[in-house]
Parts: sequence; C-alpha cells; structure tokens
Amino acid sequence: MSVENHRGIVEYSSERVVIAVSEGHLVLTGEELMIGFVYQEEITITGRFRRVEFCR
Amino acid sequence: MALYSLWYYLTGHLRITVQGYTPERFLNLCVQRGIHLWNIVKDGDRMQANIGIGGFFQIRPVARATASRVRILERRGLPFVLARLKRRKGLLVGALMCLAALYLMTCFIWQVEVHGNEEVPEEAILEAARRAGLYPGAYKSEVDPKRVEEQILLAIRRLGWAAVEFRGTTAVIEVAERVLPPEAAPDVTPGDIVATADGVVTRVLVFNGRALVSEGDTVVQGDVLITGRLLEGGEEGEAGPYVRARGIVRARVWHRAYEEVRVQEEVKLRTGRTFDRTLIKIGDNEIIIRGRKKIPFKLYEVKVERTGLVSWRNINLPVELIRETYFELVEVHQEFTVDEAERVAVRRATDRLLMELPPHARVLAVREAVVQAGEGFVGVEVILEAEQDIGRFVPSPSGQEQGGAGRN
Repeated sequence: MSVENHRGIVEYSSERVVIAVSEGHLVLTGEELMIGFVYQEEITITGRFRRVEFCR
Repeated sequence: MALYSLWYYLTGHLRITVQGYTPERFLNLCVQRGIHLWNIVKDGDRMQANIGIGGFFQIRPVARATASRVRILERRGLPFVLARLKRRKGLLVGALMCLAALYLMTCFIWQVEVHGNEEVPEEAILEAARRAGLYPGAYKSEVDPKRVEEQILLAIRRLGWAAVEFRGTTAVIEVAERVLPPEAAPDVTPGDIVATADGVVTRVLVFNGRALVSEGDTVVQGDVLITGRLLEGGEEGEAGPYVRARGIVRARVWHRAYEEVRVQEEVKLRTGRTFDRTLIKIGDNEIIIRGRKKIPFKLYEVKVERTGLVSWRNINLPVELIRETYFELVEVHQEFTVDEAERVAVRRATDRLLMELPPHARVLAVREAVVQAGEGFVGVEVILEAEQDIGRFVPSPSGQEQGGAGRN
C-alpha cells in the first residue's frame, strides 16, 4: 500500500502504522507490517493488512 | 525492482538496527533530511532498516536528536567486497595468479590427436610431428602448423595431405592417405619387339635389347625389330641372356583404303525439324512426361540422353530420366557428276584412314587414284603415308625358360 502526500509517520509497529495526512490520520492495522520505503512525498507499506481507518 | 537491487548492490548499503523510544520520529527526521530508508521492519522495540552508505554518514544527528542507538548489522554491496579484498591482498594476488596460470597453461599443447589415418600408424605421424616441433608440452606460438604439415608430408610419403589445427590446447592433425598405385614389378618377361605393319624404318630407339633393324630397312609385319637376346649368337646353341626388349621403332607405313561412290545415291538428311520427348523409366515401365507417344515423323534419327536420378554410393535406383530428341529425316536423291563422286569417295576413304591411325602418327603424304570407274559409280583408292610407331612387344614363346629356343 502506497500513500502519497503524507505528513509523516505518527506511530509505527509491526501491527499498527499511523500515517499523518492532511486533515487527519490514516490508521493501518495488520500483521508483519513493514515500511518498504519512505520518501518525502510517498510511503509504501507492505504486510498483511486487517483494517484501514481514516480518523479526522 | 531488479534495477534497484543492482543499484543498491553497486553503491553499497547497510542493514542497521535502531533502538530508541520514538522510532517514528527517527523515520520522519530521516525523510526530512532526505535520508533514504527502505525495508523497514519493527522488531519489538527495535527497528531494522536498509540505508545507503551516503545516508549512513548523515544519520548521526538524527540519532542524537531522537536519542536512538544505531548499530550496523550487515554491510552489503560491491564497495564492501572491494574493501575486504583490499585488506586481503593475498586473495587478490591468488586470483590473478590463477588467471595467469590458466592463461599460461592454454599457451601449451597438452594433447596431439591424429585423425584420418588408416594404414599409417599414429605413432609415425606423431613422431614426424614431434620432429617438426609439435608435441605435448610444446609452446603453442612456436609451432608453425604449415611447417608441421610440410614436415609430416615429407617424412611420411604415404600421406597425401595433412592439416594441423589447434582446438584449445589440443592439436589435431588431420591426414589423408595417398592411395599408392600397386607397386608394379618391372615386367621382366623376356621377349622381342615385333613389327605390327609393313614399312620402312625411319627411327630406332632401343632402351633394352638389341636392334635388329636400322633406319632405311624395309620390314614386314611380324619381323623382329628389337630382340631381347643380348648376344648375337644366342640363337644358335649358346643361350645368352634373354631380356625384355624395350624400345621405339618408327617407320613409314602405307595405309590403303578403297571407297566406292555411286553417281546416283539416296542420302538421308535432317530436315531440321525436331521432336522432343521426356520419359521416366521405372524398372521396365516408361512414362512419358513430356511429348506425345506417337512420333510425328516417318523417317527419323533419335538421340537419347539418359540420366540416372540418384546414384548414391553403389545403389543405383532403377529410375532413369530419358530425354529423346527425334530428328526428322528426308531421303534425298543425289546425283553427282563423276568428279564430285570421286571427291566424295576420296574424302570418305581419307577420313576412314585417319580414324584408324595409331596415336602419335604423323601423316607424310596422301595419294589417291581412281581405280575403277564404271557404269554409275567411281572407285577410289587412297594411299596414306604415315610415320608411326610399329613396335609391339611379344613375349618369347617359351617365356619361362630363358633362352629355351636356343636348344634347337
């Protein structure tokens, strides 16, 4: 999963990744989550996802 | 992705582990500073990531700011391999020496093979090659294939052809054997050279034996020209050595031919019209593939060309391609004057004589005479004088017994 125009990583563990985006957070839950690569404008997360949430 | 991997391999990268309270902040700071991280995995309170070499040198301030400890787990990529090699010079030298040794070893000939010989023993060829400088262990650039080929051919006369070729470290000598003519034992059957025709001797050339005639002598067919009996008295009582007479006796010989031509003659001439037919003959059956079965001429001459379709090894297929050309003939009634008839007769007779002349004969003169001229025909005799070889070897009647005739 790739997220463009992110505002940084808020929380990162192998079960839960929270990415700051404009107007809120993207919360990804799953297992063996791994950050493929991080760039200023793009972040790619791989692993077995269980849930993708968007919180304002 | 493969391209990425190659790039990372060439530039080199590290696997690091980061231990700290806020790995998220660490990541964010890295991203802000343009430090590229990839394959980030969380492992309990630690975090593993890949980082380029350039990025690693910029990571210290980030680590300090986030109070993280960074440790290197692994070094990957070409720069590290090279650095390791630089430290272990022996390995590098070894590798180079190995290459050099390999190269050096390919400069020598390790094996010499011989192909194509059947009768000539391989050892003989190898020995000849050795003398010309080609042997296992020879330095390749010092071996001149052309020279070796020549030397082999000179040394072994049974070989008609030789080629030397290098295949890697193996030298291959390809040879072809000469098929020698059966060693003809010189024929020693005693005998004489006898005249085959009547004539006047013009030249006597004795290789072996004793000449019984000399230039200017007249000989009759059957006369002994050169005898194999070396002693003059050999014919009476004392039997001298009797050898095989050899030599050339040339003589002026007169050839006669008689030809008659009728003043009125029926001659068959080609009209110029032809008819082609192509057949395939399989076994005894003929199949016409071009042309009609019926030949449209009443009188004709035919020329047949046969082509065996395939002739492979000794198998001849019973299939033939036959091309027939029919020439239409027309019967022409010819009337000659006496003069013409005479000329035609002379020409025909001369042609016949010339055809019958032995090889190396030299025509000296041609004379013709009308022998008879009767009612409606002319008879002509042509006498052709030629200088030709008249000798022919005749083995002595009692060939096995030397000088057997001398007992009488």
